[in-house]
Amino acid sequence: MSIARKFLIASHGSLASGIKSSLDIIVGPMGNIFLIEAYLNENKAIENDINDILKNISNDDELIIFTDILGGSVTNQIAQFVEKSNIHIVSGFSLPLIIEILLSDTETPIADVIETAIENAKGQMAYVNKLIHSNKDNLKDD
Amino acid sequence: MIKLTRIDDRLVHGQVALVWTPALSVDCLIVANDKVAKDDFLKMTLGFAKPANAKLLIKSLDETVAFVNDPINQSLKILLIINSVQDALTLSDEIPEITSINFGGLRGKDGSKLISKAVAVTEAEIDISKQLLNKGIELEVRQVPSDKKLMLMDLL
Repeated sequence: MSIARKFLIASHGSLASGIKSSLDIIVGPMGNIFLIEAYLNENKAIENDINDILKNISNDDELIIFTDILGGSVTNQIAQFVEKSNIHIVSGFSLPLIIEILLSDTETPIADVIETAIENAKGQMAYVNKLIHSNKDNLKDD
Repeated sequence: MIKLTRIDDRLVHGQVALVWTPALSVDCLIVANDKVAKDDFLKMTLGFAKPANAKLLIKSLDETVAFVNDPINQSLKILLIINSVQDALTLSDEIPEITSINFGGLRGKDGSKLISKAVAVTEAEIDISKQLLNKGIELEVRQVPSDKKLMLMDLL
């Protein structure tokens, strides 16, 4: 049996549910996605929220956690859980990064999936003006 | 080998590049469209949607027929993308491998009828669809791979 992968998207404020809304449109509704939206109503630590979610994760599951800012308080509070061997934390999430990891083959080891997805997601960040202009220059040279 | 032939009037976009490509394990996307094949700017912007693990080819309908029917390309796992029902008919006349067509996205236009969340068809398109059905081709409606496959005719 392949391992069940579960996902948590954690952000300051409502970015996490915003990303979830985009995922529902692009990928279609999926189960196994948890959200944490920190500091929306009160300025309290998210440790209890994380512990509540961890109750849904068995030792045979893998939990991939997407956080917004490396070094931000959301990532830092979640980082305390990194010693659990079935938890994988990926910071600086973007929509393409999350899509690639969500849809990855569960036969491929998660560490490989994450490394590849991060590289591909970096390529998604582009100054489109420059891309278009350099492409146009190349076309002229042909 | 064609894994899916998809009608989508946005051709390649996030859903196709990031969701359908891994779901079908395809390694080659072909955009078959006479207008785009002649337009360097459209070709460039479509090229931005190229998935990391697949190649993206943009060809005219004639070029697509020659490419897909060439035995040399049989080992490719192809996602064939077109933007109209008419082009689906033109290609299926020439490519015997097309036995099923996915209606993925056709935005509403004058006189069209919305038959699912993402697909709207005109009377003319329904007529062409009937010709496709008469050739024994399956016409199914799904926006994303996890959608239930619905048959086009059941939705009209």
